[in-house]
Amino acid sequence: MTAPGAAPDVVFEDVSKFYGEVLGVNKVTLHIPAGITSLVGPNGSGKTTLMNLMTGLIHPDRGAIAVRGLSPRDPESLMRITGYATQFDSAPRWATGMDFVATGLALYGYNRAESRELAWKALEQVSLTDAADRKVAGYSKGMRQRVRLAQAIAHDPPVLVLDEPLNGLDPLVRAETIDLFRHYAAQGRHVILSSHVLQEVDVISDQVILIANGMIVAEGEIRNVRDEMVEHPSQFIIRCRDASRIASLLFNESHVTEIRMNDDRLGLLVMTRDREEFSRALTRVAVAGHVIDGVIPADENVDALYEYLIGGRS
Amino acid sequence: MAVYKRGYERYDGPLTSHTTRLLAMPRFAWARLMDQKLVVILLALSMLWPLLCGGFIYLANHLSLLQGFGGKDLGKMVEINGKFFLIFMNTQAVFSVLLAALTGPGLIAPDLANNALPLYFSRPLTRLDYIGARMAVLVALLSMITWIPGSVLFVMQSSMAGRTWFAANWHLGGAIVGGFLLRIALLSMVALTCSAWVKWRIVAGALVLGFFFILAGVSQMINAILRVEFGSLFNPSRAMYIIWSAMLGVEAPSGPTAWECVSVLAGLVVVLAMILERKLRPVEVIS
Amino acid sequence: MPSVIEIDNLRVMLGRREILKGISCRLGISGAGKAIGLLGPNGAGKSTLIQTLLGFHRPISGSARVMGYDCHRQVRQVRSRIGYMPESDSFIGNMTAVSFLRLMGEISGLPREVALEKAHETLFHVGLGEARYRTLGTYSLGMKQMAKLAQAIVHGPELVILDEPTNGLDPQARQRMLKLVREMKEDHGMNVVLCSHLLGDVEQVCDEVVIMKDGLVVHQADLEAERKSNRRFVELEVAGDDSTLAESLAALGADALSEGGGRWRIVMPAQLEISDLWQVMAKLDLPVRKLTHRRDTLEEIFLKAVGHLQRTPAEAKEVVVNGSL
Repeated sequence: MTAPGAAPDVVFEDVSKFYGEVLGVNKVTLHIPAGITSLVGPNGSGKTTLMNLMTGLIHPDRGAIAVRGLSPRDPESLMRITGYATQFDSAPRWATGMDFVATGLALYGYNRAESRELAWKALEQVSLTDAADRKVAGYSKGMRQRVRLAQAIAHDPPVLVLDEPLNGLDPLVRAETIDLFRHYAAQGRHVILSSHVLQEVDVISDQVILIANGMIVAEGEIRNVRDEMVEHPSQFIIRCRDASRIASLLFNESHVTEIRMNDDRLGLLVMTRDREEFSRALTRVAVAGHVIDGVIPADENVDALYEYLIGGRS
Repeated sequence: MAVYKRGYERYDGPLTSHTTRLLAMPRFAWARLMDQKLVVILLALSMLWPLLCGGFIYLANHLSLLQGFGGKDLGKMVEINGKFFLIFMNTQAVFSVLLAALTGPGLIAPDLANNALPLYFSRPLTRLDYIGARMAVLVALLSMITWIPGSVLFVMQSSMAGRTWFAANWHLGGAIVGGFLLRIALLSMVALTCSAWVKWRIVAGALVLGFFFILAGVSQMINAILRVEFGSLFNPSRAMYIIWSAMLGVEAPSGPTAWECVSVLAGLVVVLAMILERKLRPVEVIS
Repeated sequence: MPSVIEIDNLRVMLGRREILKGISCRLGISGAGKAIGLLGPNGAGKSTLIQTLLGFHRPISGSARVMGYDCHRQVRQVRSRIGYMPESDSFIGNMTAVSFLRLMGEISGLPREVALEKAHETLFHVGLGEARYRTLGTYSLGMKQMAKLAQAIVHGPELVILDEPTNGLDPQARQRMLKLVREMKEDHGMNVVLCSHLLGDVEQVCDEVVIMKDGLVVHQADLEAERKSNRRFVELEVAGDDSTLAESLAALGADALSEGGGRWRIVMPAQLEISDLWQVMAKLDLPVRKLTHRRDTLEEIFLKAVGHLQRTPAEAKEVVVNGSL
């Protein structure tokens, strides 16, 4: 829950949405605090539906949604505080980059001069200033992605909803955009994005939401989610030279449940129920003279969570 | 007992010749066309007139059968000559336009609709190969209802009418084949270009029909309003008619000469080829 | 040993702009299945290079040869040995997957019966077995990507060029795709050129990388060699109170940089061994959560090559990184 004085959450309360027979989301309850939140799940799991619900583009069949206290049934107020960058590519054929962003701003009530100024600032944030006067239709994929981001941030919304914002961006621009998100998160904004690249999700997110088949499978900070999953023992990869000897020593420990040896006999995959005890045991083994080159926790990342929670389902 | 591990294996064997590869495209396209009921029905309908003409030729050469209906006078009316074949060609021309409009769009439009061209051109296939392969289907289809039945009719007539008739009219055979081939060339280019221009097959089909019928209307307008004759140059069907008349030795209607028509049509084909070439780039170059 | 791709001073113009400004490099080894990563910022010329290899563009000067054949003058020979998976959506909507692959296979030179066999084989291989009689227009995005991969390999080419193959795929489909790419090079001996913005994918799959910027090759690295070379650079993560760790490490002559949260970057002098580190942890009673020898990850190699980093971390103790993950 949020601390008093902090920005209120984005809250979903038992929300369901169906498109005729087709499932959107099914009984979703969420409390999303400020910071960077990543939505992760297979295609068709309901991520875009959630985003459309959050921004008020569609209404739930059941349940209630509150975005920082505002309801999507009050679209005028809600849409002022949200910025949405969709995954779909559809700028008008006549629009230049500047037109695209500035026209959107005009809809918020800014006059022409203000619109252009704010649009320019947004385009600067995404490094599109030199292409601002070219038609969006002539942009490369990465540039179109960035101009959509620009129109989402232009009116400085406290809640950003971004559908796969890093798709198609080269590594440099990715890093810059992630910095921008971090900057926003530090300012206390909500940055809610969806992504398929789990490595990045791991590094940038404050919390994750895993969704599959229209239902929330897990939410929270990655480490905490992992901690809650006690039915899965922690996994560690050990790089060492004397693998069989070390394995037999580790088997003596009560918390170790399973050990697998790597094909090259220079590594072990150890599963243990108690991480701290395991670390201590390893230190003892190392000090006793066995060479241990590397220790890597194998499953405290979103990849492993995904595998455990969603992996078998589709 | 043995356990077999069989999955994807890289093909390492001999590859087919260039012609065989090219023929794959028409084969697939043909199979799909013959699956469509409408195409088969239209093909069948297109054979009606040749059949009728065949019957006509038979009767003309066996006037004894018509003894009861007027004898020798009738004989003069049913003379098989250039004019007869001209009428035959004109009717088949209409069917050929319909057939081209029905089948042409399905040839290129599906490839363009979802950007499949890079997949073709990353294979040993030049743009000329691609267009040729597509045209081959249309040419084969249209030939079936144009010069093939036409040649059959001509041979029928020659064999029934005897050497004298043949000696006087042998050039008709060449004219039939040649005239139809010209028509096929023009039609194929129009159909392929429309197919490449417009993504929706129905619209492309309408465009093909429109090309001929609307231009016919436009040329009439030009002729009537400006009180000239050269408006007919803008009517491809009429231009063809004039050319055929010349080839078959029938007196041409007033208006542009055959050579003028040939040049206009040749220019048209060149323009269409240029448009087609632009549309069929594997990669869009935006300067 | 002859290279798979040989590029000599290649210059290519598109319209009025010079896109490739004189590239020379040798990629891959003929006969060995290797994966080559092609990286670079947008606009660097990667797509143009790929299209030139496929013979879509004519070079103004210089040459590009694939398996010994010139890409412009011997287009047919080159194209019959290449498979290409374009980045953008590419399919024929009204054909079934099997028909589609049969057609593509036959155009590539497979005999009729073989094309039919290979169509089924390949579709099963990429995981589209159950859906192979359905038309491509009904496929989901992930399935279309797999179909695109299938048409690239159905004729068993020696070189396969994949442009952003994991684009839009969800995590499981991405792993399946990368696994297929690994199998292509390891089990079937194909050479793969992988063009991607996701450095993680490239790191997983590729043996060498070529980094382009502004129409030139700015760096070529052999990832195998990078992985094998032993740098004295260690990443450490401990639990507990690590306030005295810096001193203890300094006493041993090691340079230690704290990243907070128990994470440390340590550069070890030549005479120090890992076992000495363990001794220190044991003495200070700090459970070790993570310990790795860190080679320059691909991301840092990339950022340095395109000018964002002065030196990679393995080359420097103090690291100034602009916008790193």
